[in-house]
Amino acid sequence: MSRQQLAVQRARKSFQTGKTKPLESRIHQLRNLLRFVTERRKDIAEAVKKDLSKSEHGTELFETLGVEGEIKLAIEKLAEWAAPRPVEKSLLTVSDEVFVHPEPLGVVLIIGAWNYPWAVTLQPLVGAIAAGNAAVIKPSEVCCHSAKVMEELLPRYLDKDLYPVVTGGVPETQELLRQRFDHIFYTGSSTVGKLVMEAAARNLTPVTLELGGKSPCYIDKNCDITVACRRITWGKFVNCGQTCIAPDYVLCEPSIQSRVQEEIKNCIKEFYTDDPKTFEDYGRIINKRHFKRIMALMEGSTVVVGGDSDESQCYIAPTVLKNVTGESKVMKEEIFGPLLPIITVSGVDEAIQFINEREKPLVIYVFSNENKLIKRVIAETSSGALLANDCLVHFTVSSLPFGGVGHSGMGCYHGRYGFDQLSHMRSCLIKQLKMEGVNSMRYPPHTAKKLGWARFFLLKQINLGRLRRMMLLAMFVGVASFVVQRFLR
Amino acid sequence: MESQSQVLERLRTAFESRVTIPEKFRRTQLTNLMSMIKDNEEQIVNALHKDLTKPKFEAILSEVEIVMNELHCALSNLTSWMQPEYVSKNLATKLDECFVRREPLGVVLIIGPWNYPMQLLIVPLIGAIAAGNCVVIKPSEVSAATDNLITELIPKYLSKDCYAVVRGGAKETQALLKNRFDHIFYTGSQAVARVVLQAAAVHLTPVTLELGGKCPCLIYGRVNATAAAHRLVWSKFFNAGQSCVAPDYVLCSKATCDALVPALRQVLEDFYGSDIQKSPDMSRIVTPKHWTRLMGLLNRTKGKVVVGGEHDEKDRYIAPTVVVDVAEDDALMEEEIFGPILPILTIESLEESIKLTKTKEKPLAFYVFSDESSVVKKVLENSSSGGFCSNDGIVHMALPGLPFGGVGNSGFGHYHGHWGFEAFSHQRAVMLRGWALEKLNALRYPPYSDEKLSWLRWTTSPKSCSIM
Repeated sequence: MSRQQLAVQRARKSFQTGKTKPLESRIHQLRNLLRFVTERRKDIAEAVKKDLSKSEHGTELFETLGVEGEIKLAIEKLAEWAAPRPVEKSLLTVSDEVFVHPEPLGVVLIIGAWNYPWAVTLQPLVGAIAAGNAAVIKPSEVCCHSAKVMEELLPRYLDKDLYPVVTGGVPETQELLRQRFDHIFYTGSSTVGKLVMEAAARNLTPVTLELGGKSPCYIDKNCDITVACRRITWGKFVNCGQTCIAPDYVLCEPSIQSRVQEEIKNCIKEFYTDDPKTFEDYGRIINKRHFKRIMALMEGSTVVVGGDSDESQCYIAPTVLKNVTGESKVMKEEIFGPLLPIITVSGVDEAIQFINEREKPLVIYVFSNENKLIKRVIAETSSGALLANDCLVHFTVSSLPFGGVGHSGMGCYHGRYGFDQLSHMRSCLIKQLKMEGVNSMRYPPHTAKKLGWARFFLLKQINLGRLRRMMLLAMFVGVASFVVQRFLR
Repeated sequence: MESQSQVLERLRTAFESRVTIPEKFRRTQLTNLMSMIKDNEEQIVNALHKDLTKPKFEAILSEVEIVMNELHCALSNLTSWMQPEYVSKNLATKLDECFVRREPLGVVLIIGPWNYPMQLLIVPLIGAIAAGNCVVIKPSEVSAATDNLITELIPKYLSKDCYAVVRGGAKETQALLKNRFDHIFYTGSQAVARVVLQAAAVHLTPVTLELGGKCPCLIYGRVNATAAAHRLVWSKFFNAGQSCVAPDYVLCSKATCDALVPALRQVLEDFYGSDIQKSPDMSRIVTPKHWTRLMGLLNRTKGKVVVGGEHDEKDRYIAPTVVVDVAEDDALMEEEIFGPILPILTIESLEESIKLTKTKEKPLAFYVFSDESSVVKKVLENSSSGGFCSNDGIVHMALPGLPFGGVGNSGFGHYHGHWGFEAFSHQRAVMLRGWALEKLNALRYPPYSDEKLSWLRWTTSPKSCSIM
């Protein structure tokens, strides 16, 4: 039996003992996960430094802060999320119990990505644990140091059987995907997303796919361009552009293009100093393969800021490109790197058209002072999310669902969405064997009279609230008329 | 005649013209759909009778009324369903507008089955229309008369640009699946579901699968055998057992079985008379092929037929049949029966029964009959299934408030009522930030520092908004 098969089998056996059912046990695991993230801060930061040259502060800000928040939220809200959810009844089920019961799915597979190896692997895990599942965790082999630390240290905090970490490359992942899971949660590229979905099809396994795409960023000439460029610069060059929700490219009118370029240039200097290569808070490209890929994308466009690189360090300077069109090389795929192309459009009409000609992205950014314009972009485009006048931060609002649409993915998570995504919402109707007389109208032999009653009773929904209000109104009218009669005559 | 790709192109153009977005348009289409059902009730009943010999009562209840109910629900609630949902924020985002917007997915495909050919095609359609999509409707060719009727009626009542019926068998369906849709809604079998999923994976299309399974029915503890028998017979033999949520098999003790069988026999007589084949209230098996499959199961069973067993090939008739002394490895326990045969397995303890159900795939529904609430609770907590109903069968799926769907081998995703609207929508997160407080933003810009970090921790924690 392969290592992967064994891990899945153990997880399933462990799940079947029912130990994840009690909320206390789930909270216990969540608290342990929180301890892991806080106690092992240094190990995590060191691993991320080796993988992506991210500074310790950067790791805390962008990786562990989010995970801690999600864990704390889940612990606080678990009882509420896991409680049976009552639903509206029909006239005939008025005396029955009707509710939706959130239940665990079973064994979930979480495949993480390399760009935020901790955040995108552990945040889904929070949802999986909270929902009462076992989870096989497969960190990306590309961020090999983080994967190693996860494999070594996580089992010291979480139940080894319920939450095994399985490392490996493509063949190991393929072997994992041959096993049967109750849900697969994948973060990564659309190409591999298709393969995951195909593998899941064999076992009729539902999937959540957090993919990517080219997230457009439209800058309206009517906005605070200085502030807009600060926020865009920050959003773009965090993690060297290796963020699924990074603003991929900018669309703006020619009249503001040079201003935008200038502002971004100034921000880059302000954030990353004159020499980003030596600056602690500026990262590196994950590996040589991606370095070469990103460098090749610059072909055919003009560099206005940055452009310098160092292959030995996988360093690419924060770069802004102009003379870019829809056909340029840099527009053919998700950049996932520190290149910011600026494409000129005649206005928001053309921007919307440009966006709609392409696959639905994970997020659309629009910077404008005019609410009307923003509302137009919302109404006339489609994307996982839309954020106006800033970048990235919608990720931190745990009451907002985080997910894609079309080629940017399916399903969503964060906060309660993560819990719901990895639960089965089971419909429950608890009836008694009494009141059999009422049921008789649905039994054969069928008569027209029975049909008439059945049509009225069996399916009509009642609005209990409305009924109550009507009764209250009738009571009020009764009392009022009594008062009038008694005292005002 | 239009080709499939021409149909799709037409629908996509219509969707891109944004004609389905306004609430008024969706209401008009839903109202027209309601007229379609109301105006043609008789034709619908006749078509269903032709396909399944469905009794008028069953047709009205399970194919007309349930659809009308869903339409009422959608029309009453559409406005509120379409409203943006405002969400709670943390301190750092207090001044921002954060909401979730329900948006249509685009052009969706609904593939219907043959057992409730109206309901299981039109109810998903209601959700799809309400959510603002354009829809390709593929009725089952097996229920041919209903297929004809739907093909004739839909273009008469609904916008031809936005909703199209595509017909055909396996070959045409496979060709249809090669196209790109924004969602596929499939009701049917596991085998075809795999094909649908593989086709969807090519385009990264999300899918809802409404499948089936062997729905167990446990009868334990103190139980009113007569009432249980009435409800069991009604839900099992409705549509001649051809319901995805029909109780497939019964598990109970020998004593219960001995009390149950005569009760079942009596109820069958009360319902259908002594010559059930002559009763107008009993359906037939949909095709000779399905009839042969069922007779094959009955012929191979090692159990004892104690009620029914009569059959008539020409009439595609199989009498409501009860088989006892059925073992776990019997032919009747191999696959979903989907017919009027009820096997009873005698297992003395409730625990053993629950254990048995755990060795099988998760079904679409799970039933338990008992007057003891502790028994009901035990079964609920130690089983997994799409839905759960105690002391009755099928009726839980008629409530629009409850999500109707499976888990594991019985499918994923769900619909009915609001859930149908959600199934065909994209929940888009929208956040509108202001320009002020840029100084606060400085906390997150490089160069990073410990101090900045601790301020950020506080302002982005979900708890910090409770202080305000």
